[in-house]
Amino acid sequence: MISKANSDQKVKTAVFKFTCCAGCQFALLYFFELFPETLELLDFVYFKMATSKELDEPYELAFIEGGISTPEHIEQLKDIRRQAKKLVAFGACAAHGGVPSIKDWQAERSVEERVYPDTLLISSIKVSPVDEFVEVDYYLRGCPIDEVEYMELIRSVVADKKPYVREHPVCVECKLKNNICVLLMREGVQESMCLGPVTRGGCRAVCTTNMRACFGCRGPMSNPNIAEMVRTFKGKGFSDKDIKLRFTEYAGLSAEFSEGARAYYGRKAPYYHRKVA
Amino acid sequence: MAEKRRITIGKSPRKQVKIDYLARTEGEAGIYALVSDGEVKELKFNIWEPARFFEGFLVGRMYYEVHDLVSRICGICPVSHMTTALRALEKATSVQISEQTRVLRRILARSQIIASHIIHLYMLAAPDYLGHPSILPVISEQPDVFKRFLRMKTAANSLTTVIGGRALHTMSAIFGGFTRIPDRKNLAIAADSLKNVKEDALETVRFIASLPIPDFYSKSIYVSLRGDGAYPVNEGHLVSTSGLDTTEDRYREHFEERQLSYTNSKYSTLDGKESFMVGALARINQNFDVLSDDAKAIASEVGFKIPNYNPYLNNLAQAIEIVDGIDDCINLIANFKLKDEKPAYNIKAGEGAAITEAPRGVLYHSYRVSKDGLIKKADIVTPTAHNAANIEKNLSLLLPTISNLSEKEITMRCEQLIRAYDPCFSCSVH
Repeated sequence: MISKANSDQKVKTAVFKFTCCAGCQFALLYFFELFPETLELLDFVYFKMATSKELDEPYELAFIEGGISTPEHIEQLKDIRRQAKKLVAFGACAAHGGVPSIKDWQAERSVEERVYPDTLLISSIKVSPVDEFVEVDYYLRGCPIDEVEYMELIRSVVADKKPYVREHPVCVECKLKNNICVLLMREGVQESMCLGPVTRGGCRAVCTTNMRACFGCRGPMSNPNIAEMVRTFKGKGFSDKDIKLRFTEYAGLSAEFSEGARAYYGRKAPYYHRKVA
Repeated sequence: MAEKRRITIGKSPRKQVKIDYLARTEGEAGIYALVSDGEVKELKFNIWEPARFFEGFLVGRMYYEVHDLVSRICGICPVSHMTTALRALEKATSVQISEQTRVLRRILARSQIIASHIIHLYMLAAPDYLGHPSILPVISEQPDVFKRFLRMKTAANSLTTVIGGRALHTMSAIFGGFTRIPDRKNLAIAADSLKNVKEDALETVRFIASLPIPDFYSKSIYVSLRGDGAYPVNEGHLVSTSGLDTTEDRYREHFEERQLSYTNSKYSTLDGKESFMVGALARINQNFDVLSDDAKAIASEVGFKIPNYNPYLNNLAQAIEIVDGIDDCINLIANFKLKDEKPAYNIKAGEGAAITEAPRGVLYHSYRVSKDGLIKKADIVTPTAHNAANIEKNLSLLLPTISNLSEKEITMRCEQLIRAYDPCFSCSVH
């Protein structure tokens, strides 16, 4: 629990980056301006992208951006977990591995050799989400994160309340916007192969509102029906390969989405994501 | 890591610059330098951001998802990666796009370049010169500067949102065109909000020019696109101040990459030997004549002349580009008749390359696509990978000239120099 001795005291917060594009950190900077109250509630004691201040004081709240992709990351992450009272995995990479985790679905060595002539000079392991190694208190999902969810989380953390976790699919939010269903009404992979029915909501259906099929960046909803989703895609004429690719774009390491990718790989997916007990 | 102590031998103090993790840049990098007797004994610019292997895992993916995936190379210039990949893939698969798509992509890319420059100037670069660790003290000490920053950024982001769907990681641009054509009315509103921040943009140029930017001259080779009568954004000839004039298809005949032992970013060289600079300064050095009238006027007002060899002044070049960018977007939107259209195409197997000007400079994407649309080969070179060798060269020339300063001041000068390049280390180790 994060204790606040008096109401003037801000929550000491540190932001750490692992393997990612830094876009979610960048979104945090953007949210400073969008919600000036963030700066009233949180005291950023470490945030390399925003300030040259070094980490020289304890922190209570840790934001983790990015997936874990080097051996050194694992130790750093565990160290952060020991210090932080609450730990937030923010962004698709921290929550599910994100786009860099596509690498896990291919032969690791050949992927690396395509990029670097000498792979021995590069420190790299399979990409994993943060909860592969440490316990995560809160998730901010999506690529990039959503501002409304972010503010809900900050307010909840400061008030020491459980934040509102959305268990429903993107479809709920899409229907509330009166959108025409892209899955049923449109053609083509880019515009109609929509993962909305199995993807966790919270994005206010931003992609489908722009007539773009949901690509599942927020990961699986609670208890999704993956088998039916795969059947629907097949019914629309999409190949096993199309289906596998769609399920492995942003959150392929989640147990549920890797199930969807099995349509292509047969019974055995090459990688099973284990959650820390 | 154990801190090395400053050692003094005889009368010539050895001075050390050691930054493990450079703040206020995108991604992770450090520098280590040792100067003794006014000579650089050791210099390492170490980009230790973990590698992500985009060129590796894109192989085996489909042509239609690449632009989404590569936009995740960078959280600050996703649109540049997206538009470059789209054009390279469309060339590879012999797909024609409409003139409307071309113009919309130009406005989209330009709006993101403006936003990226604004953030870099105010949040990442300026705090050094104002003596702050971050922009946060500016909120209370110079509220008018902070408000100007917010107004400009909001205007640029709103234009990106109108066309792309949201400010960060846009989604309406797809292979072959756009999922939806922006609303005419919203586009006009976005253009109006740009008009409203034009004065702020001019003020930004004056503000950057007023900062105590160090006098440091290091003549580099400048490489940029050369536009056809307009400031280069998404297409053009590749030219350099050393006389290079080539097309994007022949890029690989001139530019090579090599891997170094101490950094995860590859270093680029031009014609096998020389380092070079890309980015706002390189663009403006080679395209000054096609800047808008107001951009030229403000440049002469603050005394900015080309050719300019001070890498620190890349910041001023960025500020001038913001003015030109605003004029360009307003102009394009005003003379633009939107019609409803949908992407329609058949793909062929092939190989294609595209070069665009990302906020930080020349960005190269090239793909080979099979007849089923599978990616067979991907090759991406980012602006910071282009600049990495030149940053190191600039540092090696800078250090002897400032070796009489204190270690703290030397460190600050080095940091400022690197920040002036607006490097994106996440991009460089894509």
